[in-house]
Amino acid sequence: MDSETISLVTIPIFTGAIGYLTNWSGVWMLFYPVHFAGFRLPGLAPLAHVLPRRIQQIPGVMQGGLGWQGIIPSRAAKMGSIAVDKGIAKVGSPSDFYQQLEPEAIAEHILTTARQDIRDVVERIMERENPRMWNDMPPRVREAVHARVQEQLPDIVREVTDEIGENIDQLLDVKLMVIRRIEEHPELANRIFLEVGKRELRFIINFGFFFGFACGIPTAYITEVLLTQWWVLPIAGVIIGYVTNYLAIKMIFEPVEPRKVGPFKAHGLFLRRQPEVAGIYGEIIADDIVTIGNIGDDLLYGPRSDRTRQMIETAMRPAIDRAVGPARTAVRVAVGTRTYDTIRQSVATEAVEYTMTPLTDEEFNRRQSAAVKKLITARMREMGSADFSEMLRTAMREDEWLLYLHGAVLGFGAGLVHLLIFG
Amino acid sequence: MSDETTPQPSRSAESVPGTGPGPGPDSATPRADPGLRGAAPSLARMAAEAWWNTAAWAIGEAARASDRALRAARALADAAPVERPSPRNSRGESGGPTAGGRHESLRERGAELLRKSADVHFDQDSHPAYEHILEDLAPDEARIIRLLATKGPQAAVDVRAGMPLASQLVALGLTMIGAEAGCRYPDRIQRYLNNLNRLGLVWFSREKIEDPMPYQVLEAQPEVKEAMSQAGRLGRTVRRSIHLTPFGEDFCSAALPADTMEFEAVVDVRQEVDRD
Repeated sequence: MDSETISLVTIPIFTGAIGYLTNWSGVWMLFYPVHFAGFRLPGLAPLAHVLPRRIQQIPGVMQGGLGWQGIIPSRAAKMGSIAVDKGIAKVGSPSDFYQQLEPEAIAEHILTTARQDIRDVVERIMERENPRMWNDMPPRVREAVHARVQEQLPDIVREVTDEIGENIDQLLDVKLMVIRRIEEHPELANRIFLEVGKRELRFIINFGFFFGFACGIPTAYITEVLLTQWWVLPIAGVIIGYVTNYLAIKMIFEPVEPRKVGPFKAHGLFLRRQPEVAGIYGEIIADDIVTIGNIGDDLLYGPRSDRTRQMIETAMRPAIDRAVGPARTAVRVAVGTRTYDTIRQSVATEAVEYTMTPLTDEEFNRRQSAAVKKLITARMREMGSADFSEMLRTAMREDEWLLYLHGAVLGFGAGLVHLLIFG
Repeated sequence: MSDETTPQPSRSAESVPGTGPGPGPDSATPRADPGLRGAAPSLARMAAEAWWNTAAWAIGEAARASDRALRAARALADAAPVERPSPRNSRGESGGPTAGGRHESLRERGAELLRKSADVHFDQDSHPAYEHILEDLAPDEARIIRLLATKGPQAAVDVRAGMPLASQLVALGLTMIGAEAGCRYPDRIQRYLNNLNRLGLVWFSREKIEDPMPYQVLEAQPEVKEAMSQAGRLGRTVRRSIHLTPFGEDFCSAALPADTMEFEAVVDVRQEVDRD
């Protein structure tokens, strides 16, 4: 075989490699690196403000960095927001989720874990506010105080969980909670796609090779017979690289509704498996995003946490009065109204932490998440194809051009490489 | 610690009846009762603080007026000969400076103001407008300025349609402030912001904030998307921001309990939990 023939035969192999590489690296660029990797280019940050919006959207550019961050992790916050609008919010309101998490079981769990903590809280506060009286108290009386407080606990906790349930819509903003959570853990966004689309992603990469190879045959014909110019191959590389990436994206998400094409059924690859995908999606949401622990965390530290705290404190204060019981007036006089009120307030505020922290217990979370998982999975299966596609695709829609461009650049490069080797 | 987070919302409860178009009292009733009762101490403390600020000013004023009124008034009369009745007036005022002030003519009150400004012994802790501002704020608005004070400027976008030089405005000042601040009525956010702007506490900047992330999320919100689809193919967002004015910053530090900066509180509590 002369070099001419070798050059000709290798063209389809090269274009196949282009297709494989562009799709492989395109998929990689979707997910990795999870955090921005690159370097700061001096002077880029101020310049970035006047660049076109499209360029600004490249991960890192607005911070003056030159490098890359996986498209999905870099858009995680936005994806979380869309996931709530298109998915979670349609699945249920905050109170739906709360009901699924069984307030009864939550109360029970708080009670079993918080008993000792509350005892410590009382002990500590009494030491602080009125150490003399507390130490002078006969141990029997002190125990009686503890016993009374403990006796009140079930009522208090139930009151708190009921109150939360009634007012959950005011205490919890699911969208912000999801955004916050997914922003902190961009790898969760990756997991949704990686687990949901493992097979599809594999298929796309392989498809790149076959499609590229198939395109290589006419390309070889063109380069050798029709147009023997040197620049034909790099240009063909650009087209092949671009088209493979373009087709890959289209195949994942389109057509949105199943369409019959001859004997085949055309349907977006991700969308075809909606029932399965819904199951995995529901699992990730229930296990890692809308969990009791995260809800508890948001209730106590989120943007509306002051409301929760105030509510719990309000529920606590009369309970302390009840704990002191009939002796209340006497106690009030003995320790002074002011100290009494301080003690009451301190117990109320410090107990807030202890009522909510048991919720972060992992074992408990796992047990309670099953119901949420079922709810999300069931409703997501019923979701219309259009909404389902929108939910998955919006995250990367505005970055798709970057993937196409990257395919084109790789194709161009591969064309040049072929030229270098075979002339 | 977290008990200091209580005054803020409890003041919110207090100002509900006064806000007119603000949150309806009906919707507040189910929780208002225990909330108010529980918050009574903090409410009282707040009221006392507000009273004290006025009183301190009034007392200082009265004391100073009694022994310096003449001198100051004469100085003022020299400076502005037109204001002839002012000596008599400020002497009369020394009995009850604030009560009498209401009935004086504008010019006399203006003269009194200048007199105070000329008084080397006059000092003022916080701006006298703050009290009226507190009355003019809805509870949700207090949350908004707290957010701006603790988390800094917030992102806003306008949606425009058409070519860059001949574009029309489709939607103005869309933000996530309502949700971020945890407003009870997030749909009233535009009204709230207008009021805060009217009071001079916030300003709408044409600049964008440094961090692009908030815009990413904001531009994915249904309101923005809807506006974008209205704007059609040439629709685009213009990034802007909403800031506290220096006046607003000062108002926050003077009137909002510093401890409502709940983030510090949270850190404290968390550390305590960790230590335990």
